[in-house]
Amino acid sequence: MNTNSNLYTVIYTSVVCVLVAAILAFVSQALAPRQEANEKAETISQILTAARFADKSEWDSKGNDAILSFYKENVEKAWLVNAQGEENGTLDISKAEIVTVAGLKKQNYAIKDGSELSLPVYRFKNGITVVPIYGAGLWGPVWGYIKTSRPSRAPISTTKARPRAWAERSRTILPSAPSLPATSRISTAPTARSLPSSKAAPPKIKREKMSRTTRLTPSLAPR
Amino acid sequence: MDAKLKETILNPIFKGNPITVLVLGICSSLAVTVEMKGACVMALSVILVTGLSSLVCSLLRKTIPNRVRIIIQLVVVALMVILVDQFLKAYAYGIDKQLSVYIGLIITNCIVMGRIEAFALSNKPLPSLLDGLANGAGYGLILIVVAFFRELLGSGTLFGLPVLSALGYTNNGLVILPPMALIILGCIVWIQRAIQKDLQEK
Repeated sequence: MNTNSNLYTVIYTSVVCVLVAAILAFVSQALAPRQEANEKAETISQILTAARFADKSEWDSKGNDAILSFYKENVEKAWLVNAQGEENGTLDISKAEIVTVAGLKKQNYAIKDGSELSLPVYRFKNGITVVPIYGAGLWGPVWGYIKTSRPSRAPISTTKARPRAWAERSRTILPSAPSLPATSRISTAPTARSLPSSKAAPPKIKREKMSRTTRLTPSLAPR
Repeated sequence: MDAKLKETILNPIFKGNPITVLVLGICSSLAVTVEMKGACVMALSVILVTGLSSLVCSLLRKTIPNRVRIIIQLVVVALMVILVDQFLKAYAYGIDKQLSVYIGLIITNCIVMGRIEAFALSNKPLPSLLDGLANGAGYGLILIVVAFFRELLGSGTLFGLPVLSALGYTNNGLVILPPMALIILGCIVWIQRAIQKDLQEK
């Protein structure tokens, strides 16, 4: 057979392309469930890291099942909201249902289409709420997870003491900017903590005395 | 073992090393040698891709039309690389995320197509397989040596375990940067040519 004829070349390349495509499609379908489980566990580990349960590196050493079971034990509620913040759906906690990055990308397109959004919100039993964000970056999309929480200690009441005197005597350093309202503080930089099973003590809030001249300077929160 | 087969296996490791002698596949050696774990996975991937691609192309060598041989080689290499990528996503997701695009860039690695064109298309399947595996191993060896120095001196760790950092060593940030990989490669070439004087150009 003349391997350099036009007909042979066309048939040969067609057969090779169809064969290669079939092999890749088969392998992709066969491995898809495992890949999706890995992606789901990885997304949940990022949400749990934002919720300040542990560092990302600690989750990487755990298996998918351990991450999923930890999530199910510690999540209080997971729901979907529209652009006005009104609830328009729920995520099944028992199945550890979450919205992955691909789902967030679809919501990005929904903004352009003008259709109703379904944005996920996760609230955990430690009082932290995690909100995924997704948007355009410089060279490509950027996504992350923002946590909001109530402060661990409320500011000292100043109904009887003068505010200036209180500020002169002591200042409470909280792990986020004190200029934010006391009901919610936003932090995107989770601090390292050991896993709950090691029973680590919660961080202590530092008090330091400030002079009159320094009380007006912006707070530099220790991390 | 047949002397020719022995030479096929040993030559790409030292005397005919694809990185230090043939100067192929340099770009990925800069990018994936920051950590030992990534370098080992990359080395294993290239060994598999080069060996299996050479084997398949050698099996098809008498049927490939001459006019489209490069395209067929590319299709075979791409098939192997995508298979490796899919298996990494399924069984080593964390490593796959770390290596990200560099697994896919194995397709563009000159070593793979170079060995298919230079050896596999004109030799039988078994020697082609061994040649592919050996060239991949030679590439991987250099990757691991470079990654060893970069992770040890740049992060004070090996495979993520503290070694120098436990002794109070201050990490050298320059070693983490890509140019340091080239400098280390240059030192390896220097040492190799000092030992094997027949590699020195006259």
